[in-house]
Amino acid sequence: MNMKTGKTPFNTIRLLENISLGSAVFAVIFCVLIIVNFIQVKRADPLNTAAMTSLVEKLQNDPGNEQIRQEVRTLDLLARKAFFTTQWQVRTGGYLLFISILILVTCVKALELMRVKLPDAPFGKPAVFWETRILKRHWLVYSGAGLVVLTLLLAWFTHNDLGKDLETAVTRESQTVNRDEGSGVRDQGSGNQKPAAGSSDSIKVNHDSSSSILHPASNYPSWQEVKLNFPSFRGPGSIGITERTNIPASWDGKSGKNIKWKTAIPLPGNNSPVIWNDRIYLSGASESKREVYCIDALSGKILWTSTVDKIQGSPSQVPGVSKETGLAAPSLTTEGLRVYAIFANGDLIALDMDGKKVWAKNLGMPANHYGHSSSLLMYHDILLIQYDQRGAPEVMGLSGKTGEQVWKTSRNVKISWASPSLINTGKRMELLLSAEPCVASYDPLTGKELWKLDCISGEVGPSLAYANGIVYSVNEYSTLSAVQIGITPRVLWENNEFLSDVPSPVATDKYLFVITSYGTGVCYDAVAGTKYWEHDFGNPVYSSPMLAEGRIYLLDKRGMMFIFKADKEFSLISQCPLGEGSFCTPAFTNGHIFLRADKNLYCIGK
Amino acid sequence: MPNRREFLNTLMRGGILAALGLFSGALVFRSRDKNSCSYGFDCSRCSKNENCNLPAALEARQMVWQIDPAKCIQCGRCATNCVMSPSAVKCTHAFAMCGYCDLCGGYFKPGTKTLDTAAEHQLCPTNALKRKFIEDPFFEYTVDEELCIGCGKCVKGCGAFGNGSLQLQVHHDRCKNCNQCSIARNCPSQAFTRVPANKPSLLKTFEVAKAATLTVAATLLSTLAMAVQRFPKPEFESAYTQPQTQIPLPRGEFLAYLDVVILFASLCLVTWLVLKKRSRLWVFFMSLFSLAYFGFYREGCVCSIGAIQNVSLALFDHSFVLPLSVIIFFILPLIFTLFFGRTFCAAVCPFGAFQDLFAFKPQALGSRLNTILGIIPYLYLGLAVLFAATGTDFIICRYDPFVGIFRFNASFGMFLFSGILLLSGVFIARPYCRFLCPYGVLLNWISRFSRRHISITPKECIQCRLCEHSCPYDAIDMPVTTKSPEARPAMVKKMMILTVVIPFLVLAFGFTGSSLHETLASVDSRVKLAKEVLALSAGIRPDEKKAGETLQPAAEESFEIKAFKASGKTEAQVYSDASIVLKKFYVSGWLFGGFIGLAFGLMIAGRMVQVYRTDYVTNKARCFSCLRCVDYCPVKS
Repeated sequence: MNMKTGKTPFNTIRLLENISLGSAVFAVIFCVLIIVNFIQVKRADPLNTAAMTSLVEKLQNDPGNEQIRQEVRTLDLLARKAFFTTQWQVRTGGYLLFISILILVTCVKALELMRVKLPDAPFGKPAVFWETRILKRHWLVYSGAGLVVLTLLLAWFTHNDLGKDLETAVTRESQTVNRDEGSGVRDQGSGNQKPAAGSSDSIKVNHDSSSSILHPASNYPSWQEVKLNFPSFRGPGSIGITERTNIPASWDGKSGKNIKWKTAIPLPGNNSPVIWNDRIYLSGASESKREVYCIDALSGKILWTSTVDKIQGSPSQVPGVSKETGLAAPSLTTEGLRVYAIFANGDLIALDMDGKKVWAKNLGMPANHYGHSSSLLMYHDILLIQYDQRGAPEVMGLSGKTGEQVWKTSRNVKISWASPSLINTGKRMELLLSAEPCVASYDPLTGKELWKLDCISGEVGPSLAYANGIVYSVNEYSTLSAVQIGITPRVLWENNEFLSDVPSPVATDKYLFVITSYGTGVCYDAVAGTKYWEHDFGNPVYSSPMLAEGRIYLLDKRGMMFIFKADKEFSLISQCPLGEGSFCTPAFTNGHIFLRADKNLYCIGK
Repeated sequence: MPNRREFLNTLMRGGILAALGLFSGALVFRSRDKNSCSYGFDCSRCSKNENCNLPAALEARQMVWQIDPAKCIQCGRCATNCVMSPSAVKCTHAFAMCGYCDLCGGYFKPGTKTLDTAAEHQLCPTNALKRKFIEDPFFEYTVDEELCIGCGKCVKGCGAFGNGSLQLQVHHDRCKNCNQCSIARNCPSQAFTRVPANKPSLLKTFEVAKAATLTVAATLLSTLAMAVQRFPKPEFESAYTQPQTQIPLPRGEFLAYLDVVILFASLCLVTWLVLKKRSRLWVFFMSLFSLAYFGFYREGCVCSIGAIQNVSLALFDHSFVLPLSVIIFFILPLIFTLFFGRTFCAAVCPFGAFQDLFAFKPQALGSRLNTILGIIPYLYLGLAVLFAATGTDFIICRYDPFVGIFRFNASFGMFLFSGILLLSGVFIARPYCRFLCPYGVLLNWISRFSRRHISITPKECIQCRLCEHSCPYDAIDMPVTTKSPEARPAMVKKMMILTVVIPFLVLAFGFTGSSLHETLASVDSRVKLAKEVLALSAGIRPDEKKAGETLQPAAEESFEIKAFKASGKTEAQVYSDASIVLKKFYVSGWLFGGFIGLAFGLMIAGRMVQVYRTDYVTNKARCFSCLRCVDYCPVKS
């Protein structure tokens, strides 16, 4: 500024104008660059690029490969460098933008001070106040009305009866709780009610309730009918519980006491007998032959034998299996219309009740180093198969009538040897599976995963136990977990003192019984996890314990059946030698037990 | 002798002052009252018992945000949702719980076989977790805070496979202690909680973790794993000394009062500059100071605008402890406005100062546009109070266009928004102050009754009309010497009709607001969770129920559902919570709508009263006291 004249030289104003223009241009450039970098940073995920993932996978498969290792490091370094450089660019760009705006603002403000700005000449007619005011009033009314209309329209289009939905849900939940409290059947669908120990010492098994949801079509047996039979491994639903009565508690294989009959099974197999009405179904397999047997429960006579062969896609090679598993480990299943069997090579067959093939297919040789052992289950018209093999573990539902796939759900688990269980939560049927790392529940009709909970690890062999809304999972070198199920499954308690490798646990409302593979039985409080007792039965056990009439039936590998009270104090009722070793789980009808031993099937009755 | 108008103004001023005094007094003493505790501080009746923060919070008078590791599910949102970049949430190592494992689940990726420090083995995406050999086979793990982004991957790994010694914690030297923590708003497990500033850590020690396991085992899922001492603390043979776990303390409380002192001094100085000195230049310099201190140094927090939400929440949530400094920040500018006009807006508010810098070529907006846009702040204020009072969100802070710039960490969206706002501010001066600021509504009301407001001319107006277009904010009222063209009886009749119409407007808008309650409530995290649980439970998506479709829930389980499952809450509880929120929104919808209806009614009524003035005067409600008009007035004192 010229101090004498008080005027700013023209070149200073020009300079400031140029600087402000330049800084404005810089600001725009930096702004664009920042936006571009912002987008880059958003998109960049240096550690999850396809190239990196692929290299890391390669390295995991080939950990000793130094070249891949070096490539991973180089790529990692490059990716990180690019990522952090972009971040640095955004930050630095921000600072530069700020500086350029600062310069711009300073120059403009300086120009405002330097330039003598004359006020606008007061020409023209001032606006008419009253007219403007009336106009403003009108606009307020219009905009108010517009706002109301817009809001009402928005409310109309976004209204979703949420309030009513919530009220209904709250009412439903409270009714469910009340109903359960009233009926003694606990609703575990929500998984929310804390299971309480009953006051009575009597055994109460709340596996089923009103069965309206259990037989969606009348052509198929109701759950009650299913429960009158023994249609799958470990009984109805495969949870180790039967409601059959008048079960014998004393026999001797050697003397023949209470042994009604004994039938030799032509081919070996570790599958357990399943029963529908008066017929028992078993399978057996050798390296060259696979057969399904139907045996008369009254006489022990083999009614028919069906050879499983000529199945399209059946592999010619014999699957590698361990001796304990064998080639026919999975138990059969039936719904009274057909019998279904699966073998270690993936051959699956459906036979009618007279042994005629209805359909057959091969599911592909299971990539399973001990051999496939997961038993079959039937729900409604759907054959449920847990096929947790290496690489592509899945669970599937096939049409019992045609063998066509109804649904298939991939599973993110390791190989397992456990069998599926089917439970009624009071709200719905759930198919429960166990494999590292989780216990998972599926809708048996659609295969939709309902919930899962990471609580198990290792090579899972034992299947699940269930009672009173609690699922029990166990595996050797892992943990025993009590999981309260429902939409919010949660671990009620854990224990890793006694774990099982093969035998599945069995549970009542109040107690959980775990049998270790080396022959120790343990009883826990089902809800609190408190250990009541442990008992060494002296010999290894592969068979799963069964609960019948408040008693646990436990068969050890030698064929000795231990019968003890399902109570918090260990009370051995009897121990009955069969005289022949067994890996299999017993099956029950009213008044009879059917035991598959190494070579024979035994019928025991009073 | 004061005329009738001045007398009424004085009465109103006294009333407002008394109301402000009572209001602030109530705010100050409310949280000290026994009512702040539902049980009257009878801890034996409360399920929280010794875990309650309230007594300590009352003692501390300041709350800070912290993560409860027992609830944290390591979703990773801490890394991306914090207003700070990198996040103020850091992995913190509770050394006392560490097993000093060679195969550390927090350090190594799952499946890693070679336990070395190679990049491909490390779980931490930024290499923030350092591994140091202590003695065979033990390693010490330390966190480099500068590199840690708070993603929680290591915490998850340590919880799954180790003792859970790595935990996420807010580091208060980095945290801005926002009114509504941006992460807390999005935390699926509600692990973020306010804790007393004098006890700012929720880091679990092993003893606490163990106790938690024993007592609430059924309610914890991820934390169960975390709390298990899988690996006992080693007995070191070397002379290794375990480091102390450090969590930086929050900013000292006295600094909050320093802010109050500076606010008061600034208001005094600006008021003096406006009313006595009448110097636009000095007001401008003062606005630069405010922008530098309250804006860039204090990073826009605490501010009077955002304090609306704290006050609202404190009124409706007894357990929310409102710091005295926030109450003062809320009340002080209102009191100054009541006596001296909006001098706070002139040069103390950093937002106004920032926008003022960009008012290069301000253009007058038409009266229609001004009227219509002038409704937005009422809506914004109503929504801000509604969301704060229901504990849903602090939307003023969330959508504050300038704090991101003050902190140099604006999100992309907010960067664009503030850029557009500032650019439009070149032509439409102070767009935020005029057409968005919710605090401006309060200032607008109160300023109407201000005792000494800036006048354009210090003496008699000579009607030169030079100031007529000088105000960039359209806040100069022209002389009105003619009578209304509408006949007086007709105007009286209209006013009488309006006395009936205003209650009708209140009811009509109230009904409209209440009908929108479900839509408004759908942003509440509790309602969102209930909707998700409903969908999960029934396989129906409630928001699409209308179409009659039965849809499957999302294939990928959301973090909210995972957190819900881990929380141990029942479905009924979730539905019940959401129902309560919905009811609150229903009532609040009526109040919000009624407020807007009342505002409309009063605005219409205000445009019906008779006006007579002979001079060019500032519009007390809208004038920001920036003094631009003063420079145009040829009359000097």
